[in-house]
Amino acid sequence: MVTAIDAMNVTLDSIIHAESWDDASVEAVHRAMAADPELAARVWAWVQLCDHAGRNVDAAMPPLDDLIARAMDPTCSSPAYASACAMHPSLERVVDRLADDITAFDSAWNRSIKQPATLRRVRFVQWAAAAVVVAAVALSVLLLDAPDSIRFASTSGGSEVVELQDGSSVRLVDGAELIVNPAFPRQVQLTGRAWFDVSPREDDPFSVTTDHAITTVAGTTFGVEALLESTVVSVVSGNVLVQAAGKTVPLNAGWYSRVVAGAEPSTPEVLSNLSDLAWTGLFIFRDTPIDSVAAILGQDFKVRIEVDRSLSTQSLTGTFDRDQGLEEILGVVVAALGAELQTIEADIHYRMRAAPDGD
Amino acid sequence: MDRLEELTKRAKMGDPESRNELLKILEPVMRGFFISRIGLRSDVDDLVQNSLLRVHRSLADLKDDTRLKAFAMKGALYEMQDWYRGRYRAKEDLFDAHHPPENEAAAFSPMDRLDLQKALDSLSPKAREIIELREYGFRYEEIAAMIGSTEAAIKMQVKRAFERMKDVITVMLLLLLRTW
Repeated sequence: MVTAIDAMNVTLDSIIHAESWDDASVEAVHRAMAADPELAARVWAWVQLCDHAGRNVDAAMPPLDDLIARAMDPTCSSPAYASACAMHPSLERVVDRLADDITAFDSAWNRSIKQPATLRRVRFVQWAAAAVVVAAVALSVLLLDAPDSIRFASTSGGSEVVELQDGSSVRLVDGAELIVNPAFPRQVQLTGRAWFDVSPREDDPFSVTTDHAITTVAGTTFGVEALLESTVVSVVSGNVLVQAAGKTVPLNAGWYSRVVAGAEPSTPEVLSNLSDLAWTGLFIFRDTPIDSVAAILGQDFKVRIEVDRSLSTQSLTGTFDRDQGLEEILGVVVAALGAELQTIEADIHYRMRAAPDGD
Repeated sequence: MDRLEELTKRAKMGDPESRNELLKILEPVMRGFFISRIGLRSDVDDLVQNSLLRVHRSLADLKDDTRLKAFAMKGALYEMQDWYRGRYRAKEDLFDAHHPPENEAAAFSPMDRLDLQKALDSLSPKAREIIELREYGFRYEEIAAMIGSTEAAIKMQVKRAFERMKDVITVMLLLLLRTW
């Protein structure tokens, strides 16, 4: 957070801590100093002291090339750098930050230069604000002058949650990549697999474009697997439109459709087993019987989870992140049921049972 | 020879299309880098443009065509440092350090007679480090991350550093007055 000075409340503290100055704040400081000579003297002293500190560092500063060389190789130390650091150890922090800059550049290079051809050849088209998304389904689109586009990516085998400007979130898994243009934050492009939780906005549809299809939603939770030869769209809640090869297919909650390259979306089929969405890294339960919840969690975490007969008629609706860990997930489940969790043997055997009366 | 190396070679030889293609390839790299370091700010466009200009103007200096990445990175790092160093220019609008404000109390500037270096030397190494990093151009939030502290703690240390320096100045002033 950048600390700006409050023109209505000029104090020595606010001046010392200010990090941004505009004409109004400068004028406010001058007025305050004119009205308070002691403040003026202290501010002047502060400015001179900081200026002197800065000049000291400038005078000792080695060439930037020396700092960069040191950042790239900690064993490399020019005489100028060694001498400067002896006088001003703060330069080591500058070098550390340069090392972070170098790592960031390396990542930016790898994202942009070493991408597969299908990702590099992506073009942004300006969408109409409220109309159904209209775009070619053809695979080849060029990355043009989209200077504001941002790429997000997850590592291979890992996951990354991206929070978008409109409050929607996207969970990228296993090397997936998402491209967002801040000017059109609800129109994204995807390669790989991602789970979308879209903030509802009836007047501004959210669209996901892959190499094979465009999926448009108003607000819902759904998964998109943009694979090499096809795109699969699975809807857990809400509804979406899947468009490809000139045909638009509506998908409701609990259904999925597959789009093969160059073809129309397949006839929707029931998403019979939400565990098919395990690739999202999430446990997704929709009116799922508790016995099934226990079985799914037990299988995934390789533990035994018993459910008291008194609870087995209940069902659960909720989404959990695998990274939360088993005990935290079970804690939430039993809280939702008004039950309690008994740990018979940690990481091996658990039981969900009804809470005793009076709890 | 890979495509990038070939493009670099032709660009250095003066082929304008190759040069444009090269800069077009570098643009998203620069943009991604600057956004990752400073966020989505309006300065990013200027930083990207200036970095590409550096590459464009100094491409002839690149000896090894396989080293485009390191060459481009250096340009970006130079721009990043210039941006940090330029962030407190606005503060100079408060005063020019060599022309004190027209104010009767400040006209008698104790700093004219005192040793600024002695005042700085009175600081603890950590406080001095914070003051120097601030004068280098880093914000409190960045300094906090660099030294493993919080922004609030950094600001408190800055305030205490000033109080410490001011106390030293006050003592020295008294000593000065006594010797007159």
